[in-house]
Amino acid sequence: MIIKQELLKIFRLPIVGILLLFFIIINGLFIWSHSYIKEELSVLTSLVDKYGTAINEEMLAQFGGDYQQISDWVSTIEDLNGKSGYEHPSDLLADDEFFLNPPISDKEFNQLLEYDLIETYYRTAQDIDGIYENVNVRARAEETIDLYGFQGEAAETVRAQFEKLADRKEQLIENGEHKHLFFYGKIYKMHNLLFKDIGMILIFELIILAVLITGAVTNYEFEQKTALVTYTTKIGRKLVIPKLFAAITANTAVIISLIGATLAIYFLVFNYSGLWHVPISSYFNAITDFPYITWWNISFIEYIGLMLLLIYLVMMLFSGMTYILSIWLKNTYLVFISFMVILGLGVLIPGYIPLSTNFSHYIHQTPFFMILNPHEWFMGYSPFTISPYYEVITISSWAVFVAGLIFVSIRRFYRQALH
Amino acid sequence: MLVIENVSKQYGNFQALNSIQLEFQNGIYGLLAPNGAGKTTLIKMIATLMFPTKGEILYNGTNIVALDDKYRDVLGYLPQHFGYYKNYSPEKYLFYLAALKGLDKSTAKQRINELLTLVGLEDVTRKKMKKFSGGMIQRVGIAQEMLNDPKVLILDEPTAGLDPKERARFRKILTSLARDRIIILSTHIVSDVESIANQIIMIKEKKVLYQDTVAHISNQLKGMLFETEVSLAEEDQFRDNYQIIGERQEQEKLIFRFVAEQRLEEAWQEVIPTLEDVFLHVYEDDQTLAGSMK
Amino acid sequence: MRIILNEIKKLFDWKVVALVLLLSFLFYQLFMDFEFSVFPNGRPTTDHYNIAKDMIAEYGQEMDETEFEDFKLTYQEEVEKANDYLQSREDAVAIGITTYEQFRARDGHDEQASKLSSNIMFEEGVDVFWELQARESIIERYANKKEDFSRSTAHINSEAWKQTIIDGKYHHSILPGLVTDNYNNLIKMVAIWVVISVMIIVGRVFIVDQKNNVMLLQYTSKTGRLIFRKKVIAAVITTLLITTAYLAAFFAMYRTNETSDFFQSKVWSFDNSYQSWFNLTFLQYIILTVIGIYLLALISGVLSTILSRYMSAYITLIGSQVPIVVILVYLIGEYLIYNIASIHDPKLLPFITYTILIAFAFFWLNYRIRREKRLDIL
Repeated sequence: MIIKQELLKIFRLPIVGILLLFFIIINGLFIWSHSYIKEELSVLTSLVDKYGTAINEEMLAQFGGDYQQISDWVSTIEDLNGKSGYEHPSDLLADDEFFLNPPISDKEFNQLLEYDLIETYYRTAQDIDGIYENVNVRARAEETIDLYGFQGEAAETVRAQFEKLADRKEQLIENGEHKHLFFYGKIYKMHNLLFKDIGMILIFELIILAVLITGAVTNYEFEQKTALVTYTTKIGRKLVIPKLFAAITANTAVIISLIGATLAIYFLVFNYSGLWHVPISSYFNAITDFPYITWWNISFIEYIGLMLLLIYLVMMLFSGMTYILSIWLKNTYLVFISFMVILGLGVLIPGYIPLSTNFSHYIHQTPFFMILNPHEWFMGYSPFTISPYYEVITISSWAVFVAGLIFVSIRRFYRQALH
Repeated sequence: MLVIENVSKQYGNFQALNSIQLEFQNGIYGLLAPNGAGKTTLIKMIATLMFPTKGEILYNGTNIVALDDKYRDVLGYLPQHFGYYKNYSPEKYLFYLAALKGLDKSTAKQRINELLTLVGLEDVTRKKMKKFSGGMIQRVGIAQEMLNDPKVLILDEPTAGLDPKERARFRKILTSLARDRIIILSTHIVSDVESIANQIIMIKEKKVLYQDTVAHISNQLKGMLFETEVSLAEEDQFRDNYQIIGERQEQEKLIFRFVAEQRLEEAWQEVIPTLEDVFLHVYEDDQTLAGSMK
Repeated sequence: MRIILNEIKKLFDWKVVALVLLLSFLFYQLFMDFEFSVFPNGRPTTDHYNIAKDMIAEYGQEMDETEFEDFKLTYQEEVEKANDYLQSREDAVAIGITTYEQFRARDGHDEQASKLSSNIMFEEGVDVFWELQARESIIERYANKKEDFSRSTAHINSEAWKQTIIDGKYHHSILPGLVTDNYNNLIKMVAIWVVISVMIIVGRVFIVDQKNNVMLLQYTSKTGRLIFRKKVIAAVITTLLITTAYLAAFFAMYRTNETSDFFQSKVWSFDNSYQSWFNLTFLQYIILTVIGIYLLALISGVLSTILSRYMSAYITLIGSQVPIVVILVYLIGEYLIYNIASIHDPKLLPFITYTILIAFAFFWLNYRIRREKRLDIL
């Protein structure tokens, strides 16, 4: 009942809805600005329709049979110099003579461009085994250590984690997680678009909303000058507890609406049919020579679920921190700026810690650092977040920490002089 | 001289004041009305915070809107919840307002010293106001409105938060100031104005009901106000028949103070009406009064 | 004036100023420090940068075709030095690499050759080899400037305009892109930070008095409703103070990048991919961005002031400032500051955008000033 009253205080403010709408529009525009690749992406979805996503001998045989027809067609085409006998669409396109003045109709040329993409998928699918044989996780460990300048104990930790990743790579190869068709990462970077770019945008928009909402709910009585009345009623200072729950509820609603609307737009623009259950560790997701390897076999749809969960939990942590700041500062303006200061410090401080002891790893286990690379969650990729349990440890340890601080702050608020 | 000339105020469809006609000479005017009668609207219009929908307010014959800063230069206003900066000292705060009021620095300095002494805050001129009691804050408010030596002084519930001694002192200050200026004191505490106001203004149903001296207004009930003892058994009947203005209990009996057209029973004792009696009588049927009556 | 001064003092509330300064430091560390501490970034960029400075010392701000011949001669001399060096190295001679020509043409898969090059370039960092790389890219760009020009201006229809550029020998200017890129990256961040700081500090101009109920006293004082304009002036002065302070601090730091040799060079250079509609010197370009920052600061200051008058809750105030910041930050990064007046945007686009933003702020303010006069204060 009281929670409902507290919620009404927030949702009666039109600004929450306006900001939410503004963010949805921004996200929509951002997604729309990438929609030009939609047509090319459909090449892959139709391949998946035909062959499924799993790459195995049977599939390759079928795919190869169809590809042979393309190859045959390509070999019949001559360029203006009468040169012909090309094997692959890409060879033909690489011939400048042909490319600048193609002696075929526009329709055929577009067909050729599509074949070129099919070729990429087909030949990459064939090459995956070889590529993974060459993925040297241990060498990657040493490169990473050199690149960042890890030393001593900290370097050992990185090595040990990559060692685990090497095992995981073997396991992955065994169960064939990497051999699934997906949008070709090196060209389209769809994993980064969705989880890094859109993920980060969502996180920062939600931070603004969560901090404003939590600050406003908690400070409401002080800013409306009703504090003396409300905090002397029967419920009294305990009112800050329903306020916390109201903030959590309001933030939950806002998180669901913003992410829900954004993902709805995303999946309306980009067609992922047939791809929902492709493992994130699919080679096609990779954008560099070192592929994404999740610590567990996580499908695309599961990864989305996990991302939502993590964003939700991180926002709850941020909301909790804002709540603490609000109890102490009692002014939403100061709370908002202070939170930004904390966020900045949270991102910056770990960078100053020498990379020689394991402390340099622990100091990166913060929600502030975690939100910087949402596309690498649950993966063995970057040295500070490589541990399989990085996300779990970060969230749970900070949950304990923030909950403790909330407890202390509330206790302190109960005994504080109010003016 | 301040004249409210046929002023009406409308908010959308809601009529807050209707054809108000008033005249103020130097002296103290008590503006008496229950909350919601349009008192605040009237005050805000005299303070230039709001503008009449119809009619005009004239100061020495000129519309105050046209006078603009010339009018505000002689205006002093103490709102009911007046604003201040918690981290400012009274001195710094008054300097800020002196600047707004167009006082030059040296005059301001002198005035501020005088006024802070007048209101008895000379020992805390440099202390931050966040530590002040309600009474001290109110005294800063009084000093604030006196800064520009105003000719029109408007005080909205000025004695709230003052203790009886401070109240008495405040009334004395007002009386001495009233010689050469108009003081409009809005209140619903009758005793605040009863002894010092030259005239009382009562507003009812968006219109001016009275503008007259305390004695004249009190006389309205002359010969109509009685006190009598009523037994508990008769109580309900009595209440139905007469307008009760006051009551107190003595042993088994109730003593009622009430209004009647004329004396009907020997036991009734005629009493001399006070301003408060009239106030209660006039606003008897006013629902808003029920809560604020003492 | 005293009133305005008082309002300015109130805006510089120590708590808010302290937090903003702290945020500025964090912002600097996160987004700007890199462009100062590692400029020029690595090799051969550093060599490129130093050579460009030498070129200015030798040829002036421009390098014409005859000077280019001289530059190529210098290159040959450097090649000779590299040859001598290689011949003096046993490990080079041992695998048959005795000239720079051979060094360049080495087989990437040949382990010994790779080891040699890695030793020379990275382990020992022999200057002449890096400098040669830098000189090669300069020569290549100078030689290809006409082709590059026609490619980068393919979308522009005006042949006459193109001809003025060619006739004016615009591409003879010596100004490496790394210098303007560095400046652009920095000034973009400065602009963003100025906008945000102004919003934070100026945003309090009305809301605090509204919350404290001081407005009733302000509006009934002699100053009366003029307080609105005085506060607007206070907000504008504060905006200018903040902007000037940040710009002064920025340029004091920017001096350490030591790019002043290039100030008189035209930004339109064979060595620079940023090409402007206007034939500006680097210094003029800098002044242009500074003017842009002042305009942006004023726009955000005025908008914040107006919002502050409308809003009575902090959440609403910040909430309404957020979209403005988002839009301005986007536009700053697109063309309002970063690469302003680039030929990749329509010529009048920045001008029109600034005009719209200024007109919007100005008309809204004007409307509010007029409304203020007859507004009932509840």
